[in-house]
Amino acid sequence: MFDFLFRLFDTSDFPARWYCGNWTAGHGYLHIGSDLATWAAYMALPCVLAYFALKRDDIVYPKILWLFAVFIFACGTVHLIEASIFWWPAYRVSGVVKLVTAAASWLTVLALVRIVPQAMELPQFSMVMTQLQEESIARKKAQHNLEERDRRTQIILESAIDAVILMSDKGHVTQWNPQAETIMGWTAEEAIGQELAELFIPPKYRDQHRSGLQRFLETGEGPILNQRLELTALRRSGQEFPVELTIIPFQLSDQWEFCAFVRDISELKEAERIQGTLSALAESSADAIIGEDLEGTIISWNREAENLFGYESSEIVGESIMKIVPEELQEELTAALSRVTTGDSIRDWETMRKRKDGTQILVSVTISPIYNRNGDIIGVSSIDRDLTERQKYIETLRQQTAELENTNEQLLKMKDRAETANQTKSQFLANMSHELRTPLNAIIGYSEMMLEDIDRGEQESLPDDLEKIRKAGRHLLELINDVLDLSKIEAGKMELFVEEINPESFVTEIVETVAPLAKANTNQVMLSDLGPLPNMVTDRTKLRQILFNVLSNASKFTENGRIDLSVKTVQMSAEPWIEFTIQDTGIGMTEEQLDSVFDAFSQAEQSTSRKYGGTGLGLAIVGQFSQMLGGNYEVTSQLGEGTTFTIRLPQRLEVPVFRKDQDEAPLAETSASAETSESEDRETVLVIDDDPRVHDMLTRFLSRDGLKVVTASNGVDGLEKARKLRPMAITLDLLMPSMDGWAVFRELKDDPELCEIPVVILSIVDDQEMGFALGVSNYLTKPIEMPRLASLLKQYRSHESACSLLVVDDDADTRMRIAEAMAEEGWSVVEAGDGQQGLDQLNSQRPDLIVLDLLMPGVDGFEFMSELRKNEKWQSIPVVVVTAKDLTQEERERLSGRVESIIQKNASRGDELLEQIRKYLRQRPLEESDDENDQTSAG
Amino acid sequence: MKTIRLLLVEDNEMNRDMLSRRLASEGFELVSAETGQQAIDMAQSEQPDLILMDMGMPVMDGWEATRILKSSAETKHIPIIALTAHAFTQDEERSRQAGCDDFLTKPIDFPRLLKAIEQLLN
Repeated sequence: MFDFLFRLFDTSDFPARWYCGNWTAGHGYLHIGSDLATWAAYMALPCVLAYFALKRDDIVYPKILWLFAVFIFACGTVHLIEASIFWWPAYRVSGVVKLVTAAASWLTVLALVRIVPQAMELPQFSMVMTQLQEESIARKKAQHNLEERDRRTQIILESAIDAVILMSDKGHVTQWNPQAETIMGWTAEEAIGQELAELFIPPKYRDQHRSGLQRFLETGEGPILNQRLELTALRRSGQEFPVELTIIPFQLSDQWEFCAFVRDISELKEAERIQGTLSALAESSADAIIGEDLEGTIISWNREAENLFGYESSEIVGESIMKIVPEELQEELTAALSRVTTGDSIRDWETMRKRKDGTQILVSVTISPIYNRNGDIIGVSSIDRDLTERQKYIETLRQQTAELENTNEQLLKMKDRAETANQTKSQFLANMSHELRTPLNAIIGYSEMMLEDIDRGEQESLPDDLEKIRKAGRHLLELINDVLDLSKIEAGKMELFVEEINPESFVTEIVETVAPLAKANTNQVMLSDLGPLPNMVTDRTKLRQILFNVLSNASKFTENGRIDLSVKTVQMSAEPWIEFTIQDTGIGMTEEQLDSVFDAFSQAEQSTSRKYGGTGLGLAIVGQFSQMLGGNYEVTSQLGEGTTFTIRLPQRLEVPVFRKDQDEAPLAETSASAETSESEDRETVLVIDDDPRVHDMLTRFLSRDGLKVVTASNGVDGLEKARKLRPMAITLDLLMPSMDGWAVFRELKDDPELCEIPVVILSIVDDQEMGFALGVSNYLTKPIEMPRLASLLKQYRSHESACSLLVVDDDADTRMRIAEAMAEEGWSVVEAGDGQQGLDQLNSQRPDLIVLDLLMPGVDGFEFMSELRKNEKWQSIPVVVVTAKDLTQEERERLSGRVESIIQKNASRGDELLEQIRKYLRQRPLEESDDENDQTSAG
Repeated sequence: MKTIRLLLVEDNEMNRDMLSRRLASEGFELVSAETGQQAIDMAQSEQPDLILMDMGMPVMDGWEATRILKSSAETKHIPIIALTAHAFTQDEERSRQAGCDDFLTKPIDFPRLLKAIEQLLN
């Protein structure tokens, strides 16, 4: 059967198609044309496929393509043969070709079938394309983002406030942003690649940095990493400066890198320093300093503000400033603040503020704007000064000024008074002179005349003239007695002897005494209205003189009249008083005369005394004595009608306070107080001064001299302390509030217990004359010359405490030694070189103790002793014999019973001698009461 | 020789008595007055050669009497010697201002008084 394969191209058995059947040309060529066209197309397709397959290596199924190409080529070949069969009947070839085509078709089918499931999986092409497109866009976007991020990072790095530096694990710089350039001074170009340590770390820290880096790389330990540090860094200029630094390590492809953020904090530090200084200033300010923001909210509040307004800083910061402003002033402040926020300042604005407790205070406020660095106003500062104190101060000043003026006035008054006193004194002297001269004129004149008469042998008028001399003499005596009385009173030396008297008999007695005087002027003295009278306790002599003077005065100025004396009890305060009234029907007095009736030498007219006699002192004495007896006096008169004197005296004369105290105080207390006053007496100085600085100064200064200083800051206190302590001396300021120094002085001198205490005036007022006139012991002007004061006070101490010692010794050295040592111990020492001198000294001053040497030229110790013992006044003086002589039995007998102690003198041991004297004195304290008695009787 | 007539003005009886007697024994003719007013009257009526005037007297004192005497044509030529117990310089001054021609203090130095009288009358 395969024989036809050998005859493929044998066309002999078949006719050409044109000849099979009735082909029309048209019909035939339709076949031929279509087949040829198909063939051509079928040839082209495999070519394209093949080309495609060859060109694209990413074809998913390339074998299928090839199968398609073969199959299509075969199909095309079939169509070519079909066309050619019209002329060439090669049916055998046609059959083979069709078989090939069939085979290729089936192969393709099979191949397709096999790959269909896979092909089903394949995406559709359009989808693939879309996907492709999307992917492409996303990629582009990502790309863009990446770039943007890079750019942003770059911007961040470049615009960072901090320096951002990257460092490799070798310690080299890999990144260096512009801020790093600015801060450190190195450009990125210069810095990158350099070792960071060299650029940025001060030399002394570099090794530390390097070892730290090394350790981190080796062990992973980096204690300073990942945290904020404050360190010192280095600028390119070599200047060190503070930085805040954070180092972050990170790892890229197994390599460690480090990112450092560096902030220059030198300005911050400086600001902190300034801030610290400023806040210290604000805190220590004596003014309240308040910071407010533009809304008036308090943002700072210093300590003084706390003090002034009473709010703690913690409770007021954050509150409105209006919290310390009284409501009615808030509007004003708002206006002020708005002015300040436009740049004005308000200075020393005196206004009110409200404290936490609601009280209002006067303050001076200065408000200023607070600017920031750029010159913008960011708040206001308010400096509030408390004027309350100033107000008080002004008030005090005003008061002090007033006081000063007052004091000044008082001083002027006192000056006037002193001047008046001075005038009075001169007047007194003039009067005295006058009053003495008048009787003296008579005495001298008559006696001269009598002498002449005797010369001439005329004697008949002598007895009369002698009587006149006697009368004038008696008048002089009367005058002198009165003057003495008055001066005693004025010197405060008049003593009171208080005793109990029966007023009735007392008055009767006086009336009897006055009767002859009254009769001389044919007057009648009547005792009337003698009610039941209690006994009086008073000074008899003084009262007698008072009544006698008034009665004789009345007798003198009344003629043919009547003098009535009445006595009755009156109630003055709590105590009963006795009132004596003497009424006469005499010449009376004018108002003017009444005013001065109790002044010395103030007889109504200077010549009155010539007519009526008298010294002009009688009523002055009445006035003074009445006061001494604690009473008062009064006179009323009608010219030509008569005069009435009224004398009122306490029924019981108050004995001076101290005696009463001592009598009534319990025994224990008495002795205690006596002790205190005695022990303190000799050392205590009372300082009366209102200035505490003077207290302080005197206390410090005087205690160095062993004086005890007690201070009093006003007159009342001073007097109280003076009475209690009986100080050795008193220093007294003059200008003191309420009770001035002169008033205190007067009271001191009025108090019989205190009047002997020396008073030293310490004052800025220099009026020594007046001071001495009033009887101060000394007068120092401020500023006080301390050494002078101290020496003055020491004098008083020695005066007060001194016991006197007579040292009778021919050896000047021994005398001197004893004298010096004893003087140091407060003795006043008198020295005598022999017995005679010793006796002379005894006559002028009686010592409390005698230290006697025995062997002396002239009157020796034995003779001295016998003279001493002869005299009654001297017998009680203790004598300590100090002798170098070994006494014989006989000599001892001569002395025994007469001397207190015999001390052996040993020239080489002078101290022992003194010790012996002291020892003797300790064993036998001097009996002061005896001495006083002796002295009284001696004087 | 004409007897010299003195007017003694003195309120103190003792002193008046004493002085007038002593002056009389010196050969003076004495008239005396106890008050200022009396002195003026007597100066006019008696026309003494000289007046001895005590200064401190009641009613009208010596100063005033002197002033009146010295201002009166009838009496101003009569010299006046002040006799006073006021012994201070201002007292002398006061007396001279009143018109006294001389001034002596008590107690009186009698020879000085005589000398003063003699001086004034020559």
